[in-house]
Amino acid sequence: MRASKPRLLRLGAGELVMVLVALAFAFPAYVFLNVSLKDPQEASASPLALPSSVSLDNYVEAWRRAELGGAMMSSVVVAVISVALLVLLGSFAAYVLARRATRLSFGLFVLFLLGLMIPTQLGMVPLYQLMHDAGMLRTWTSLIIAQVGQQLPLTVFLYAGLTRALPREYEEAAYVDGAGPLTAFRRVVFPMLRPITGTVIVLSGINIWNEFLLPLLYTGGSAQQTLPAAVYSFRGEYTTEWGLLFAGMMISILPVLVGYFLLQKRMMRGFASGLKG
Amino acid sequence: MTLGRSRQRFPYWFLVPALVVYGVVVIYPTIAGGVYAFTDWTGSRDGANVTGLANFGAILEDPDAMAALRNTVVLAVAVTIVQTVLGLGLAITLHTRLATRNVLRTLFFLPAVLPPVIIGFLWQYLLTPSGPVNEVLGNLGLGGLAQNWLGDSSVALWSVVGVIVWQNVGLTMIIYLAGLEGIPVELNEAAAIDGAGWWRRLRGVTLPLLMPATTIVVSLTLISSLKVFDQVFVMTGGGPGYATETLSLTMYKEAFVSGQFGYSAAVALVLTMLVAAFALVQLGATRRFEVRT
Amino acid sequence: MSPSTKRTLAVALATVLTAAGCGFVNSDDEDAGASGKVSAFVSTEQQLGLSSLHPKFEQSAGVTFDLTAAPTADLNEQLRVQLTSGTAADIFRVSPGLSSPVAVGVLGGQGELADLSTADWTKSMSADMRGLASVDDKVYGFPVGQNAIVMAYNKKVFAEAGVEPPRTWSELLTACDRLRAAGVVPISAGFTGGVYLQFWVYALAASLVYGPEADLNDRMLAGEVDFADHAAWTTTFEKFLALREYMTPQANGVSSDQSTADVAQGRAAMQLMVSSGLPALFDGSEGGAADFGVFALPATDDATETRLPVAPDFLAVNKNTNNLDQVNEFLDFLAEPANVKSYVETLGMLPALDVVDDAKLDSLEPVLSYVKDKRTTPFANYLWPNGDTQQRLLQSGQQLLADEIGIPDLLGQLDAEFDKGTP
Repeated sequence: MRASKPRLLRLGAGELVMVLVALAFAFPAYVFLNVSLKDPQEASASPLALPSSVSLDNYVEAWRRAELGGAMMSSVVVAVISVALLVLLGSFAAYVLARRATRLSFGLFVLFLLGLMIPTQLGMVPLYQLMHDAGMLRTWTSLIIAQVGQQLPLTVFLYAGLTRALPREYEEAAYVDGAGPLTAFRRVVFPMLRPITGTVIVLSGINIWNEFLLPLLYTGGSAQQTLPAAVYSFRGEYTTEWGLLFAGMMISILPVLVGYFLLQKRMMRGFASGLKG
Repeated sequence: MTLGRSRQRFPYWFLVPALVVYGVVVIYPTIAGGVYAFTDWTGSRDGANVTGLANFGAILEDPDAMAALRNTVVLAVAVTIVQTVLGLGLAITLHTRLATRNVLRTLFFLPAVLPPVIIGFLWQYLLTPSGPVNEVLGNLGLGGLAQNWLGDSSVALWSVVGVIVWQNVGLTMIIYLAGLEGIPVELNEAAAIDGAGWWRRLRGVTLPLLMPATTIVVSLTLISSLKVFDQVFVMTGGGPGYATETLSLTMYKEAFVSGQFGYSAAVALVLTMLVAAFALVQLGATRRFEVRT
Repeated sequence: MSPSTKRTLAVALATVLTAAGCGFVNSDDEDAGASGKVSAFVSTEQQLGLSSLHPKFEQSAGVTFDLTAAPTADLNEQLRVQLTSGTAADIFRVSPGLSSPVAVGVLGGQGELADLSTADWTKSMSADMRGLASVDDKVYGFPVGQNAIVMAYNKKVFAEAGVEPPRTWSELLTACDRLRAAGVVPISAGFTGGVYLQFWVYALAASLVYGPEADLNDRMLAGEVDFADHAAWTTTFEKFLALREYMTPQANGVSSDQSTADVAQGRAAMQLMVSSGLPALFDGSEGGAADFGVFALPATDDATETRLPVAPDFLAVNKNTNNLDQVNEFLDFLAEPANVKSYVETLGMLPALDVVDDAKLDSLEPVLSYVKDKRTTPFANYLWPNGDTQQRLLQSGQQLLADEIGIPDLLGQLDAEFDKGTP
């Protein structure tokens, strides 16, 4: 469809408005970035003004003092494996829960839903003891298992909720062609779920990436420590080294932002194109 | 479809791996930890005495806990309404053919990437009475709107609502965007050919088809804002006074300030029941509007 | 996802996993508690203080250290979980007195901590310090240093207003008047969360409540005296409110970092803070430490009645450690004068053991005499029987400042929490 002239104009105006809204929205993020580029004295004097000279000192110092290199590696390993497992386990489970209209499947769905509602603090000690008894403390394995378990309810909920809205005809066609459930799921259903998978990766990925207490509890101090635990070493009881903390934070969210930017182009394209690709 | 074919096509063994992990990581620990709600456990290794429902009775008689309960509900309802409406608006706008839509989507999404604790610190600074927010308002000639955002007990809770929405509206937007992708373009085009204007297409086509996404958005927002902890803990610690005290804060303080782990577990169970009740009502309500395909 | 991307991802993942293969299983030498490897869980401040010391000890004693650090609030949470599960480190940070579920008094009473009473360094502890580190006369805490509550002021702002550091309450009020007339905020106050508000109560109470009556806390714990019926407590809060007119307006909504920046930049004249916050203040000004001075907050018109509130920072030893000998050696090492000196100089703290008198603490110089003359008092909350009393003060104190409740209400609330006793 070719856009007419007034439509183009309207699009331009809309664009301008949205950019303005986005700028107001991004203002706090600007402050965040700004402080990370300044020395403490300048940050204290004029936190909002542009830095007099862009200095990456905070970044270098944060990287060195909090040993962010190793932490970044741990975070990536834990997040990538956890998210992959979540997508696998979650999509399988949710598919059945969404498509089967039995009392059992509804009950199981509610059981998963309950996991969204339970404060994690309630089971913190028993789970920790379980990991201890299994000899898995201070390993990525314990962290991955715990993260996958905690994010499963969200994953199942997202998959189940959006799978229900998908048309069934394509699956039917696959079954008519003689496919088994596994093949039908892999060839037809999973590709259709692509935008949901994108959403799941983003939402659970962020949660896992930013989780602080679990990693500190399970891997704190060891070589398997993840980013938030490392970055928070710039927080004291009464004071905080803001420049370093913010610089460390910038470093640690960069992979997520890049990931999201790439994902939204590839994954969020919608199931129509997903079917073809 | 017959039951036999359904069993064949959607076999329950698909569920087994997820259930095993979920059972080990969530269900068993929660039950094992929940048991303490019926004891006077103080965290020591000596164990605890069973006190039955005493903790729950104490919660009902604790004016602080009741105030926290009220704050929790107000905060969650407000966040849910504002965030859903805003997120929907953003998604619909950014689903159009704006040239900058990918950049804009990333911008709106940016706050969601930051850890909630950092968001709390950032806004504590931004909302200081002599801070940037009031300064900007003053420069725009809106100085009358300036507030003691986090220090005035009649304003603080709403400031917290604002911050939480600011952080999470990008997530709502993403879910709605995924939902919008699922609506066949032909439907809207057909409606347009029939002469339906923008508003009628939105109400008649887009919104009803977005109902599954809305169900998800509303449930997730409601649940997560009932449980919200980090931003409040960092920004106000529950203050000024008790104006922003929420159940999750009470739960934390009872355990790690007071050492009343049993009571804290009871608060956690009350919180769970509250969330479950809200989720049930909300699911029932939105399900009715969902369009079956 | 196209097949080629899939393959790239798989290869990348495989590479990462091979490179880091050991991260997935718990190899034996990584196990905390194995002998020859001492594990420690400390606050971020302690980590900084120990950073130059523990490598030295590692070399001389032939042990390896496994140091984990977390901000205090997070540490408190995790330590409780670890203790309950029997996985706590050999050495860890504990709070003084009975002030939290992981305070030295609470954990000592639960039998979680090793008795350190026979160590030589216990002889260098003051009576107050010993009290905060002990249960039933057994010492369970090693004090790495102590913090003081001091009034930090901007020298230039004081000079421009023609103000000298006040030594009495009246001088303080006069100074505030002059500073206000000079157009600056006399007292910078950032009370979000109530954290910096409590310091006012502890500083005033040091001189007004605990200073004059050394046995008051024992009598309060015995139930003989209450907050509400002891006039000195009422005076404490009255004096706090009397200073309100000189403080940053709308202080309940001002963050403590903001109020520190205000002093650093000369927008405000002084701020009451814990000495560990001084480096952040110095960082905020071009001239650094030289631009600022400190004094002890006077509360009466007799300068000799002023007391300095101090709080030790403790390490404690896990009762179930497999490395008791190494750990004791380490504490003895930390107690050596040169090392105490190094620790307190790194952090700008006061020494907590009476073994050094030549630490270079320029910024704290004006209050060192209080320590030498034993004119110090512990932070009040470390004398209280639980953490609830402090929590109540943090939140209801804000209500007092906002005139939502009165002093008798607040004192009554504090009594109710105090009377709950130790859990």
